[in-house]
Formats: sequence, C-alpha cells, structure tokens
Amino acid sequence: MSAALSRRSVLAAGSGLLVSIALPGSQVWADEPPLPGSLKETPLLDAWIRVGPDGAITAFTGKTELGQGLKTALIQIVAEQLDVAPARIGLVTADTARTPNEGFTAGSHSMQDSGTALLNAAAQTRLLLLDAAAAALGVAAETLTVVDGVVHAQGGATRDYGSLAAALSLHVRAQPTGGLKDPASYRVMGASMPRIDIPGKVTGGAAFIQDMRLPGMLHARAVRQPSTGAVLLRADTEAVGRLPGVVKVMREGSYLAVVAAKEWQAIKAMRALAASAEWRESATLPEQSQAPALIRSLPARDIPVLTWSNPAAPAVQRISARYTRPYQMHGAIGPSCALGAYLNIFAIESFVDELAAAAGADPVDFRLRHLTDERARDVIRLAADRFGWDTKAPREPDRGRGFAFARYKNLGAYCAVALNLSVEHETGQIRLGRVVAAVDSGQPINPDGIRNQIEGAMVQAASWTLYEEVRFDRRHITSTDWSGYPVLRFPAAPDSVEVHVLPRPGQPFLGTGEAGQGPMAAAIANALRDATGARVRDLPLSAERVKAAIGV
Amino acid sequence: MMKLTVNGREHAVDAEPDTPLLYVLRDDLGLNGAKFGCGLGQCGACTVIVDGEAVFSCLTPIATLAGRAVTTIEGLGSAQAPGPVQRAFIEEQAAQCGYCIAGMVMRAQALLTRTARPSEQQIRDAMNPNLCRCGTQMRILAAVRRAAGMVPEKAAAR
Amino acid sequence: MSIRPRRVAGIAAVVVIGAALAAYAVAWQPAIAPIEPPARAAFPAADIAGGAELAALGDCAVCHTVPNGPPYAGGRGVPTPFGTVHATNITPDPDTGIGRWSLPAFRRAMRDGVDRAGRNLYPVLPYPHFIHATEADIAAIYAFLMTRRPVQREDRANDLRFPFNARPLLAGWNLLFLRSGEWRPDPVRSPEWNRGAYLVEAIGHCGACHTPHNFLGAEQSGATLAGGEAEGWYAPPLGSAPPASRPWSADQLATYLRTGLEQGHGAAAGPMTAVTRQLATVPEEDVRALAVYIASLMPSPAPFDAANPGAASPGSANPGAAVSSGVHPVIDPEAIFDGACGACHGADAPMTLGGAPSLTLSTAVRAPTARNAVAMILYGLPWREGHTGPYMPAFAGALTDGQIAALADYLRARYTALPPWPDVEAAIQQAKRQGGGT
Repeated sequence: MSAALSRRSVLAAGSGLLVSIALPGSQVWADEPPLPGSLKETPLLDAWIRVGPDGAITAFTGKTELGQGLKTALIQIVAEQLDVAPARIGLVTADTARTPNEGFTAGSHSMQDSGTALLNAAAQTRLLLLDAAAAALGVAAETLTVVDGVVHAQGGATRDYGSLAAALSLHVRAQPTGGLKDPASYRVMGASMPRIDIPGKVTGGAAFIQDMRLPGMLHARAVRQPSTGAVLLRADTEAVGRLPGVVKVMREGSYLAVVAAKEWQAIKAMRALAASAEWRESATLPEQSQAPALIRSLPARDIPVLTWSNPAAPAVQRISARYTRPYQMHGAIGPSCALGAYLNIFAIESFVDELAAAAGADPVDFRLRHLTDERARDVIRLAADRFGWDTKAPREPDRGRGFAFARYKNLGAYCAVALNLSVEHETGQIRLGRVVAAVDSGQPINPDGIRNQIEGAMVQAASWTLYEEVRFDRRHITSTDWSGYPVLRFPAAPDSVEVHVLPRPGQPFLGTGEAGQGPMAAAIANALRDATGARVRDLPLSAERVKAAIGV
Repeated sequence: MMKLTVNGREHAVDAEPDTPLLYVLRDDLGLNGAKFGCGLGQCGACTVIVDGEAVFSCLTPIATLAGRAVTTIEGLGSAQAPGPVQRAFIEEQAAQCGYCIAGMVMRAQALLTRTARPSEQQIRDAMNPNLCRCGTQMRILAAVRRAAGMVPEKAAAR
Repeated sequence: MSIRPRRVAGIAAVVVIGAALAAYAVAWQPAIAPIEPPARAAFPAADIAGGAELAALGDCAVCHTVPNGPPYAGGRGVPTPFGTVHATNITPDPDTGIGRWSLPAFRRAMRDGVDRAGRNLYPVLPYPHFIHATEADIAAIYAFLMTRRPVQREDRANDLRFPFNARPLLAGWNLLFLRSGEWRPDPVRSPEWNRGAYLVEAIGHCGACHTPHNFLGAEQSGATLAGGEAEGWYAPPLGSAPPASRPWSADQLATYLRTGLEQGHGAAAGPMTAVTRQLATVPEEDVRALAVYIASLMPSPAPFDAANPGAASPGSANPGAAVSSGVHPVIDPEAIFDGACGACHGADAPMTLGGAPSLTLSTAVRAPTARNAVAMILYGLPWREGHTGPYMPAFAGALTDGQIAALADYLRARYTALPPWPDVEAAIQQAKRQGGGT
C-alpha cells in the first residue's frame, strides 16, 4: 500500500484487513502490527473515549490515581490529542463496570500502558471527527483546524464535536499508528498543569477508600496472630460479644475478628478479644543477624536473565562483592506502592563504583565510558553538570559525594543521581546534603509531576537505605509499630533536592514512578565511601553499621 | 450526648466519652480530613488543632474537649476557597498520595500561628511528629516556608 | 555595750575572709604550659579505643554537646540550684578547645577540677568522681578526646548568681568536700562486681544524680545513692529500697541500661535517656558489671501483692469515680485513660504484649513524687532518628493541666496501693517551666 492511502479507508478497514507494508530495510509482516499500549487488550476506541452530545469528553482508564499524578497526566494527553480544553474532560478510573481492564496500577507501567493507549485512541478519535466534519462541510480534512472541541473550516464554518459525534460510531478498532500531533505543537502535553487531585486532598475531600460511607455500614477489627503459624487455643468470644455495639464476633480456626456498630466500639472489643486470646506459638525464626546466611543456604535456582560475553584481554584484576539487604516493609500509612528493583540497582551501581575505583577512574567518567545508550549518557551528563560534579574538588573531612545511574527495569525511565552528604564521625550518622537528579521519561506529559515522583522516590529510598529493617526475635516480628521500624522523618530529610527533566519530544512514555529509588541507594553508599573510605555493602547504612565501618 | 465545638460550630455527639476525637470526626460528623494511620500517636495522619495546639486526634478522647475549640482541615478552607496554608500546599504541589497531608497542614498551621517566621530547623522539628511515606517531605517544607511568606526557592543549609 | 556586736562582727568578717584567703592560698594552682596539639599517631590505638568506651561510660558527650551540635564542642547548659553552668568545648581545637592541653593539664582537670590556666572548674564536671579513676583510664580518655574532630566554638559564659560565680570559692568547696584517692577493689567481691563498683564510682558518676546533695551542692556523705534529682527529674535510690514494684535483678538492670526499657519497671526518661544511649555503645560486659554492682546495693522492697496490684489503699479515692476539680467541668480520668493511654498502656494493648510495661510496674508511678510521671505525660519519650527504642507521644497540648492532674491521681490510685501524691499540681507547673526534651 502506498502512503497516499486516505485516512478514511485505512480507519474503516476493520479487523479483517491484511496489511502488507514495505518499509525501507524492514521485514514484511503478514499480520497486523500489535496495537500500542493497552490497546492491545482493549482495541475498540469507545472503550477509551466517548464524546457526549454536548461536546463533553469522557475518557476511561483501567489504572488508578495513587497520588502519582496519573489522572492529570492522562487528561493532558487526551486534551492535547483531541484538541479539547482539559476542563472539558472527565476521566473514569479503574471501574470494573466501565473501564478497560489494565491489571494492577504498579511497576511504573501506567504511562507506558494506559497513557500510550489513550494517546493513540484520542488521536484517532480526532481523525474520525475531522473526517466527519470534512464530509459535513464538504472540504478536505487537511484544511480543517480544531479549537477546544470545535472544528473550523477555512471559510469560517464550524462544527462542534458534540454534533459530529452524534452521527459517528467510535465502536471501531484502533489502528497501530496514525493521527498523532506533532510534538513541536504541544501546548498541554509537556506543561506542568496543576494536579486535579491535590485541592481535594489538601482540604479534606474524600479521596481514599477509608472515606467511603455506605448505608448501614459497620466497622470491623481483626486480632492478628502474635507469630507465624500461631494457633488460637481460646478467646472469650462470649463476653466480647456482649460488649456495647458489638454485632458479631468471628472465630474461624485461628482467625479472630469483631464487627461493631461504631469504630471505637470495634477497637475496644478487639482489644478485649486480644487480651483474652491464648495462642500456641511454634514459630522459629532465625537469629536476625544470621538471616542473610540462612537464606543463602536454602535450596535455590539461578535463572539467567541475560548472558552476554565479549572476550577481552586477560583480567588485570578480579573483583567480587556481595550486597545484602534486610527484610523491609512497605509500612504504608495509606495506599501502598512497590519497592521496585531497589536492591539490584543498589548492588550494581555500588559495584560499578568499586570497579571505577579499582580502575582509578572518576565514577561519572567510568560510567560514560562503558555506556553506549546515548539517552543514558545524556542523563548522566545532565545530573553531573547540574550538581557541579568535579573530581578535582578538594575533599573536606567526613564529607563526600556519590553518583549512580539506572534505567528502570531496563525499559523504563533513565535516572541519574548525584548527591553529597556528611558523616558524623562519633555516631556514624549520615546527613544528606544536596541531591540532584536528572530523568528522561520520554515525552514528558507533566514535568512537575515527573519531578514530584523522582523527588519522592529519592527521599523514600533514603529512608530504606539509611534506616529500614524489619526486626525479629526467635519467635516474633518485633517491628510492630514505628518505634520498632524507624523511618525517615523531617529532621533527616536532605538539605535540598532538585530534579531536572530531560524532555524527548515524541518519544514513547517511560515508566517513572519507581525510577529514582535504586540510583539513590547506590549514590548514598558511594558517597559514604567517598566521605570515609568505608565501602558498606549491607543495608541499611545505619549509624551503627557505619560507625563500625569507620572505627573510633 | 457530648457537646463538641468543631470549626466554630457546636455539635451534639452520641458517642462514649472515651471515644477518641478521630472517630467522632470521621464517623459521627462526616469530617474525613483527619485520617487513621496508626492509632498510636506515631504518624500524625490524625493531627487536628485543639485550642491552638496540634494534637493527635486518635489519642484525644472527647471527654477532654468540653469547652475547648477543635479545628480540622475542613475548617481552614475548601477546594474552591483554600486557606493560606492550604494554598501554599497547592502552589507547591505538595502531595503525592495525600494521606498524610491533612495532618501536615494542621501541624504547619499550628506552627505558623505560634511562630510567624520559623527557622529551617524549627520547621523540621515542629513537623517531626508527622510521617510521609511517599517522600514528599521537601515539598511540604517548601509549602510551610511559602505559607510563612519566606523565600520559596532553595532551603538554607542548616 | 553597743560596741561588742560590731567588734564581734568585725572579727568574724576578718576570720572568714582570712580563712577564704588561706584556703585559696593553699589551693591556688598555676597555669600549665600549653603544648602543640598532638597528632593521632602519638596515641596507641588501644588507648583511643579504650578511651572511647570510658567516655561513653562517663557520658562526656551528653553534657559537652549541644542538641544537634558537633560532639564534644560544648555549649549545653546544665541547670543547678545556683544557676546554669555551660559545658566547655573539649574537642582538641587549639584555640577554643583543649588542643593545647598536655596530659598533666587534663589529669589535673579530671582529678582536681582545675583547668590548664589554673582556674577552678565547677563540680558540675564530676571531678569528685573522676578523682578516683586510674591513671591509665585518665590517659585513655585523654587519648580519645585529643583525637576527636576539632571544632571551633567559644565557650559560653556561665549564668550563676553571686557569690557562686566567684571561682576561687571553689577552692574552699574542694577543701570541704573533695575526697582524693584512687578507687580500691574489695577483695571479697568478684572481679565483675569490682569492675561495676569502679565504673559507678569513678567513671559513671551515678551519684551525681542519684545521691542527695547538701545545700552547697555536694553529695551527702553517708547517703550514697540514696536518691536525688537531675534537671527536675526524680532520680530513684540505687543504694536502698527503690520505689520499684519488684526488685531489680542484674539482668533486668543490664537490659534497662543498654536499651532504655525494662518490661518489669519502665522506660528511661529525662537525663537517663541519654545515659542509656551511651551505654548501648559500650561492651556488654561493662554494662553487666554496672548492673551486678547496682543490684547488689538494692535490698528487696516490701512484698508486692501481685494478685492485687491495683488495690486502693484505705482512704484513697475510688479510682473509677469521676473527679470534680471544682473550677473546671467534671473530669473523667478513666475515660481519659481509656481513650488517650489505653492504646499502649491498657491491659489489653498491643504495646503491653510487645513491650510497654504495665503501669502497675512503673517506677515513675510508684515514686514518692509525681514529677517523673507528669513529665512523661507532658513530653513523652522523643523519637530518636533512625533508631528503635521506646517512644511515647507528648500530651502537653492535648490535655489541660487539670486533666493531667486528674489522670496522674487516677494512675496512682489504680495501679498502686500507695498513698496519693502530695505534689501533683506543683509537679505539673515545675515540669512546664522546665520544658520538655532531654
């Protein structure tokens, strides 16, 4: 087929079409290329976009807003590609009755999956609307422009989306490509539109499942087992069942819970139930300090992810290292997010620094020397430049700088982190100073949203890296509240954090939500080494561990 | 029946006197801003203001509130007309999941009412009772500085 | 006739002034020549390491560091009945610290309370205890301090009322109260006991808080470790019956000293928080030695009625009744306890299963004064960045003074069979004047 084929005939072709396109230097495929993003699983346009008779746009996503700015970003995408003001767009998120099934909102996939689907669905919807307008106005579609949902012909005639959509079916299959606007013309995508969910969150608006209220709703509390596999022997369910407001006490095997009319009644009943409960405990946990050794001794299977060899000259020096981290917990206050590939990047990027040191090379130069991906190199150079990375800068005692880079899961966003820190010699306490990151997320939809995510990722990872480990004795987890699982609080937050977004107009969206954690962890460990000479490979980099490493 | 004054209005509440304020706010008065995070006074998601002091509403039984003024986030402003501290949080886009934010705003409000131009260390120490697991601390600090009318750019090194 | 009182007064004045001058003349010390700050290489590594442990046992960093400040650089104000004394900069900074102090100069400060320039130091520095330390230990502490990070920080002037701001008078104080002599072990006791005794008396200076002081601020001889106070906190007796509900075993004391919490007694609060944090860094056998020694000093308390821990003593208020405080609306302390305290301190609370002791066993609730209990209600136990450890929220803003008083009375009546505290309101006011935090 030639490129001169009209949009209408391609779009109207439907699912049975066999397409054979010869592109320079590529293979000829007998089948249709896959649809982009989640269109693959949900190919019909009206699963994603509906246009109401009043011109109001409804967009649908199977993903959910967690505070990562998803709703705003998706609205920006639809607004840009449809040429409609953002205020005109209502976005329905994660509704089993109404939205596409896009699985979990996790793993930093929302923009790559849902964003890409909406990008294309909105663009193709716009094409269909333009074609309908062209037919109605008797002009060529190429001569039309759209301003906020109103199609304008050069002569001055107009048609609004609402009236056009009434005669148009969007119940058609999306195409692999077509209709995307030129990134150079973007006015909404790539702008830092304020997030639509923030005003409600800052003024007490209902935003969480905990805020749902249903008629006749009751409150429940469960009594947790004191240790793994504990068996409930007895509990005073009778007496607790008679406490004020208690509707039901549930006991099924070792599961124990109480339902009451009011929340405080449920809590008091739960406490009384817990006090009366007797358990047979048999858990045997390892000695906490021996846990890494124990895990290593368990049966295991190695699964090669990538095997690559490039025989070079015989080794001048062999280096090996082992990195460990303890059990850590999400410890969420509200919604939770995933821990990401944090340990892997901590290990890899610490080791890269060890290699650089063995080679007598600057850590930034060493990385640049060994990376061929230009986007990786650009992000590294940007972070180093904005930080003011200077190998020759004089060292002050107990102060150091560190650098790390990763591409999230090797398919997400590129992120490089440079930071400085100081170490209090008497206690081993690390104090984070200035943190600078550079990130390439492909075509940025909301740059401030990207910055917010990366800032958050780095502060979150600072907590994991400096403090977090689940404590346990030989029978129980002893980290049962924040006093047994300390996390980063305001006094320990870095002096400053800045994030620089490296825009790639028109490039696919890259998952960003968890791109900052891994590099942050390694940057801290690398800066610790720079400050003190001590290379610590076991997380967390607690004050005790650092003090033991640096000595008196 | 207990009488409570919340955001300037008197309410008659049918709850036992030992009921912590948090559950009365949320379940009896429909004020969902204050959140349950731990119930132990360790995370601050439940923070409200009583007679000008920031308190953990999960540990403040309503028996202690006779004749005292309770202010919640709903009393500082609305999404259409946010109060000064709320506006600062919006301008700094100081939220991710937002679960901690109502508590943060109330803690900040209490600080700024007491100390008009706090130092960086004073802000950090005052906000210490409140936890954020998403890592939004830097923006929250920037919002507090902005609400105090201080330079909104970089924080001074401590 | 009228001449005699004036003549007596005149003679008395001459005698007193003469005695003071004589004391000063006897006690006057010259300046010791400054030295070049020694390099780290001048000290054996073992001395530095040993000195680090002794400095932790002696809590040097606790007084000589301002909160959030550089370690050992001084600046912290220590309140005394005579005013506030500010700890000095003991980093090896040559100009503002002790960088130019020789070992003899350091030794003289630690034993005699005289600085390099010959000035008397206030016995807030517990040199009356350090005077008993061994030569080797003084030298090790010196090696440790001289190898710390030097920090430039001028010493802050003390804030003492006349005549206590006159340092030469301290020479007289020393003549009256300073007992010299290296500590000697007791041959009938175990090496561990002797180690503990030495650490308590010569290094840890427990008596500086846990011994009653006379009106001139010296520890009362004959009342060693019979109980005292520190910065507004009640320091229970160690050398006689403590208020604890059950005796302290050496194991329990060791746990308390190293972790700041013991399930059968309570959490370290006030100045003890800092002490236990230091002891967490010290070899376990030394903490064990301290515990063995202190446990040996404590006799068993009166039999504790474990079956009825909350028994009200005759004549005390029914703990379940609401208390009318007269001016304020009726206060319901049981409701306050259930709603504010029960999450952690209730009989059925997760904390008591996991760690927080029942208040029946609390030393603070059983103490003869309400001071520690109300201070803990007001200020709680603070977070310690990055470390596990006991934490308690502060209730200073949440509860009114009247509510705290009612709650304190309720705790005393519910959890002990002891007489009500006589000083609850005064303790609240004093604690609020003193402020929170350690």
